[in-house]
Amino acid sequence: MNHSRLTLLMAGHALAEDVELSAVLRQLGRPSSEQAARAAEAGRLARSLELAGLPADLVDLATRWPAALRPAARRLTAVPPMEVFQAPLVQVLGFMALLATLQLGVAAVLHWKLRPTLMAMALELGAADPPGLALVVAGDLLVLLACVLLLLWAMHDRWVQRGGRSWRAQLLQARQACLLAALHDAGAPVEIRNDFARSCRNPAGLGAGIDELELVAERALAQADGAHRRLVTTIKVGGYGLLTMLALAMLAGVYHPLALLGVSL
Amino acid sequence: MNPLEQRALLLRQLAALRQQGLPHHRALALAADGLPVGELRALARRALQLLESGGPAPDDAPSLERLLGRGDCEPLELEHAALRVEAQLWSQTATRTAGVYLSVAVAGPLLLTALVAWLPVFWPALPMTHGLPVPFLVLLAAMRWAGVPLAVAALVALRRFEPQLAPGHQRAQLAASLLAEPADGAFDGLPLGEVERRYLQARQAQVGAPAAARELAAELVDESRRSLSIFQHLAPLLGVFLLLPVLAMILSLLLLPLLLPVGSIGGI
Repeated sequence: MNHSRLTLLMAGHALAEDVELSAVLRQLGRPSSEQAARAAEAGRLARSLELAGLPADLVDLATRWPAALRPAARRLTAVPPMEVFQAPLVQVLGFMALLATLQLGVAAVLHWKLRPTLMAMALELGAADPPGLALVVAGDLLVLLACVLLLLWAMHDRWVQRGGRSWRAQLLQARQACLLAALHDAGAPVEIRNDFARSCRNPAGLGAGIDELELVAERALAQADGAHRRLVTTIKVGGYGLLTMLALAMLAGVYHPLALLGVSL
Repeated sequence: MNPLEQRALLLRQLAALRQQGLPHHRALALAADGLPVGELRALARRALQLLESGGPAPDDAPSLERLLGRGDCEPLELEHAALRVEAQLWSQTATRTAGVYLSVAVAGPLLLTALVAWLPVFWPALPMTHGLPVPFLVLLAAMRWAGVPLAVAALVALRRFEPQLAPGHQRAQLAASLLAEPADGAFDGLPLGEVERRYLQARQAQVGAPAAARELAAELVDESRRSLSIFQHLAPLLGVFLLLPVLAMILSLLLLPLLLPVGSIGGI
């Protein structure tokens, strides 16, 4: 448990159980705790929670209906933090960086060590460039590039057809639905719930019941997962496609002098 | 399904059915019917028989059987037990996952090096060792015989791997310990961090020791699950980075036959 989570839980319990918030904030023992406790004693709840380090949306929620902070803390555990979504991206990008480094290393050896020697041998033997060889190699690479671009375009098109919101936007929607459901849990009146829904520009929350909000949250989480998977797949297709092109270009670079040698012999 | 996972599911199902207002024996009969044939189903059936007979559970009965066989078992107690089983499950999963990745990262390079060391013997035409410095050749010759035994020794040593380093293990273990502690709130012996201790102390004063322990354990299990999820994605990448020196060596050795004949590199 980190300090932010501790603050959220402790403040949530205090506000839901009518325990003095200032005393609880002092118990947290953080540098800003004393200042936050003084703000709470002065009746400035929003300032106090802000100083305690709560995110803006939770401060807004607690200011509107203090008892909603505790159910919000519980419900928000269903929304995975960014790191859980970022880890697969880091994995894919890490593998690609590694592969690209290895490929570039091999390409450098082939280009600066092997190719000049083979070219020198071919020129020594008086080989002429076979007609159209460079054109065929360039054509192959262009076809591959077109395939990769076509695949990426098809994926993007399908993504747009499915609603096309980013996984971050979907996660935000799930979070907002959880906060609205927390207002429900804490028995906040409909005007406050609607006000909150309007303030976070979430029309799905206007007048929605708790079951609907839970469904919205679940759907948004599933869509965030789907959008994230699509993003990872797109990066894989694009990245590995480009790396394959690099590998082919590398092979073509070595094949060219070998073909010249073959012609001359 | 993992036996611990099955136990947690049974307890969660029972707690949910009890919260819907079903009597304990009816809820247990329903949940037991859904279990696959096996040890847990037999245990649930024994607990049902206990409930029907109204007698106490034998002293040597497992704790789960004693809990399920009690007619006055509250939904909260069932959730408490489920959380404890989940904590054990995550702790076990974290240890296993870390063990597998560590084994591959340690034994993998050793086995690969042994394989590379045997290549010139089985394929003498391959001029892969030409021009290599003497220490490298000695190392390759040694790894030919020592590679596999070293890998096996490393795997045996890793079987005794202390799981404290497994991401998420400590939190899950702590959660299980918190839920196993007596209700008097004697949590002094537990390796709680500063934040956890603050939370526990504050909540103990407000809601009592068992509820505070349950709240903290739920948080810890959740965190453990997240750490493990992140680790499962990043561990293969870390493993490859560990294998990189060996891969680089193999790649350079395999490139030698290509590069040496044309004389573009004279002895690395």
